[in-house]
Amino acid sequence: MLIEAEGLTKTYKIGRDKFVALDNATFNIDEGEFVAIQGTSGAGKSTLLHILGCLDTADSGSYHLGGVDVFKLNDRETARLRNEKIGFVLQDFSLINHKKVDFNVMLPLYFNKTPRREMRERVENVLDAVGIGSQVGKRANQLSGGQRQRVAIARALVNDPSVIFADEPTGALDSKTSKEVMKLFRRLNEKGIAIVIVTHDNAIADCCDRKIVIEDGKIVLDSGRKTEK
Amino acid sequence: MKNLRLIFEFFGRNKIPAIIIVITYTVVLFFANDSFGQYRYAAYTRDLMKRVETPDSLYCMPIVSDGDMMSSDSADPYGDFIDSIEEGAKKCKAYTPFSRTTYLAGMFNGTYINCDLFTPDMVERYALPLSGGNWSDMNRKNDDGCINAIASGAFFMNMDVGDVAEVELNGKGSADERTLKFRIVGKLAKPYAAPFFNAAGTEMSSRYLYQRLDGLILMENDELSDALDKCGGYISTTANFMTAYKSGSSQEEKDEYLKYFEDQFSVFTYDELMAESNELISRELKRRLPIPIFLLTITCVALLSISVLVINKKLREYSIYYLCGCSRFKSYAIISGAITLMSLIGGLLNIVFMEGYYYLTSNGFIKGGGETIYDGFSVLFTVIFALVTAFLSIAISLLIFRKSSPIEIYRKYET
Repeated sequence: MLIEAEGLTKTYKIGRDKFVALDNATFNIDEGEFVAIQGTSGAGKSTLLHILGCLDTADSGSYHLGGVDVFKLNDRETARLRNEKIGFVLQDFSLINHKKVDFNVMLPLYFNKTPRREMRERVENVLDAVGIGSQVGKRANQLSGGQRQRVAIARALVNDPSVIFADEPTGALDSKTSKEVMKLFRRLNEKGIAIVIVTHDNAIADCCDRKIVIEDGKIVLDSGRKTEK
Repeated sequence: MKNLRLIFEFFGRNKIPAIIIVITYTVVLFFANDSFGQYRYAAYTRDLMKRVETPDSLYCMPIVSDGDMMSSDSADPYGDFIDSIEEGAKKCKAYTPFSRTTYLAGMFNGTYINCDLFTPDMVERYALPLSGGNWSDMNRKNDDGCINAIASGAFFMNMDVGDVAEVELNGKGSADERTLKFRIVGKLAKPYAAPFFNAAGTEMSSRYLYQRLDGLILMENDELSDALDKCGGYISTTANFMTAYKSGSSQEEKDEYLKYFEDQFSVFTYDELMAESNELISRELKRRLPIPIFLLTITCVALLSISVLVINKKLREYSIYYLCGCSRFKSYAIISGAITLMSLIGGLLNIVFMEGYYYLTSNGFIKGGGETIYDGFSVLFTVIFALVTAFLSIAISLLIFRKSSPIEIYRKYET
């Protein structure tokens, strides 16, 4: 089992009020799965993705990634796990726009022990794999939206992760480019990488093998396994 | 190397402000060190005077016509003139031998240096602080024909006590005859201040009486006289001299001695010299220190401001680092490294300059009056200032950085 989440709950304080972003979320994801986490805006899907991506912690519950109890790790160990096991693709691409493509893709390698001479080789390989090898010398802000998302995917891939978490990865793209990006995710999934996509878009969710639907912080549907609302 | 690259990335798109702040920081620190150095030099020479002179000392400034001296047939007209004054002074009961600045020029390693001649009395009296060796070794006999000397200044920086320096003195003889070997028995401590009785004026303080010497201090004795006679060295004497009342003299005898000088020229008593020196130090304190302290404060605030501005601009970038597996701790380390680098560059440039100051001024690469002190204390001050400014900037920057978590930044950009 790649991901084991049990009873994940996250509450935000807004002034004196409490807002439950995630309410007792329990599910598992196997290695090599292609999963969509679907929900409307404010349903709690990004919160769930942040917790699954080790960017944030839950107030209660437990989360194991690749058998590691994530909530027991310290800042440094969590960062290492994020670096080695996880790749992120976000709606706004999260690239350093004034830097060149190669620096952006290389960034995760700066935070582990990859030798410098190997870094460039790995960057060239992943850029070729996502089809933008020729853009290596350009700055991120010189690329189109689709190209930028490919750069983000290349960055997610550069450390050979077990899972890629994508938060509305096609949200800023036109439909043609969206399809290309989804095809790329499918190709990567076929190579054995688990893909977890957060989306509000039915068409995107339909491209995935499994759907987890979330409403008001609760999981209401998990690939046919329907929970009570 | 990877961490260094990330530290340099901190300055990405902020290079110009960072360079400007580093230049400003360096210049202000240099200015502050120079001002503090000048103030400390005034205080150092005052303390030196307190140590080597007695409350009975008198600084005498004979009024001499340079024209008369130039037209004199004597090789050392000022020396002869002071000799004549001293002959007269010997008649007074409070007389003590004059201390005068007698020197000859020489060439050491292709550069002109001064060789000050101290009488045995002066060697005992002006036993100036040494960084190595002993004044008492000036009396030691050498079997190899070397003459003992105390080295002073940057030209002898690379020589150790016990080493031999070959100096070609200015004189009548051939180059071989004029080249004498001096054994270094001691090295004068920074700021290489030695008595130099040439200054004259209505305000006379210790700062003018003890000036930087780039050269050697030699002791007048038979051995040196023989050597100088052989090479025909041109000895010069400065116009002024120092003397003192004989110990145990009555007030009448002192008055008689003082009157002998005052009838002919201007005299400063020890009390007057000390009062002038204290006045100068007080003036230096008020004049020199406020501006550097103000500028140092402004620079500290500027470094802090630029650090905070850069941090605010970089929050998004550091949230991306976090996404890629950079821990918060490592982000703190990168930010701290970059801010420290800015203050460190300024501090290091100042330390390098201060370490090279005496060499640069001695060799004429930069103009320097020599009335300043750059020593271990100056280096310590620079290091402490660099660390304090870096610490303050880091502390405030990290407080701001901590307030915005990566999740908040992602959410901000999502909306």
